Amino acid sequence: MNKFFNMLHYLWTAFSTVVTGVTCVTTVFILIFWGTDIDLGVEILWQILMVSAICSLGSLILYNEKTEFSKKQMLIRFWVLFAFVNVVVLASGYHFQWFSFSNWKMVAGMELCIIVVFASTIIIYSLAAQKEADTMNKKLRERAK
Amino acid sequence: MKITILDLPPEEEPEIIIKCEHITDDLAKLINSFKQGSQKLTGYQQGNIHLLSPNDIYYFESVDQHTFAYCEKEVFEVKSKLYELEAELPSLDFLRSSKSTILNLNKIKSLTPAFGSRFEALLKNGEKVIISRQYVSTLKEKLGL
Repeated sequence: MNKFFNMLHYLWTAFSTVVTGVTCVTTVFILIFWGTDIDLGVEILWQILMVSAICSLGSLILYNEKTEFSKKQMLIRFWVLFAFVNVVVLASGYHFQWFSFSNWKMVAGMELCIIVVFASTIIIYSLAAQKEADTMNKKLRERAK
Repeated sequence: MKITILDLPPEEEPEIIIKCEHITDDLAKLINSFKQGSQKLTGYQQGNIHLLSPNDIYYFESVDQHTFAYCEKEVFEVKSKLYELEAELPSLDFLRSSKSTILNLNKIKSLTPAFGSRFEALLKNGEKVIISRQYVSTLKEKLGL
């Protein structure tokens, strides 16, 4: 049960981070490629939530309570996740008409958005891990006294 | 702390009773040292037998069905399996850090985040040991976090 809650916590953290990132880059993307005189329906919010949820579910590829992954396995899984996120976002973006494949600037912009959100998520996770390490190091120092 | 020593009839087994409100870190260490006593592990190196104190061991590693105890500079083979060592060793000082290693917490110099939600422990002898994500929560518990 504890493992299940750990997984839910992991997914929720991933989802909230991705949603924040996607919302930010979507705002910039719309501003650049669609301008300010555009009427957007509520459905775009659902689309953002849905795409973020699918991408977050994909991050389970890096999560496993039972199996220990080697560094090489983690790297492979990392790139598989990146490819998965690309496929999901580009396919969804095309389906929801966020961009057109005939406009290379839009495609490049979308790819840049994917990279920015992906990189931001990794940076946030790294910072959280560093903070966790600092707290543990502090406890280790106290223990050594 | 008040210490009371009572005379015991020769037929009775010596007993230590600890009265406390809750078990503090210091008390847990004391209990561990009582439990551990003068426990020594038998290590084998080039046909010679050595008695090893758990305090001198940095970590244990299982390689190809053999278990090795890594001290500051020397490596000894021990006949026990990792799960047996895990049960025998003082639980406050030793941590299962991956499927194949048990780490002495007192020998950790610092922790740094490693790729894939793992942590890398830099030991006092300069060696580095990976702590798998599955065991990070146990590490935190042992550090009182």
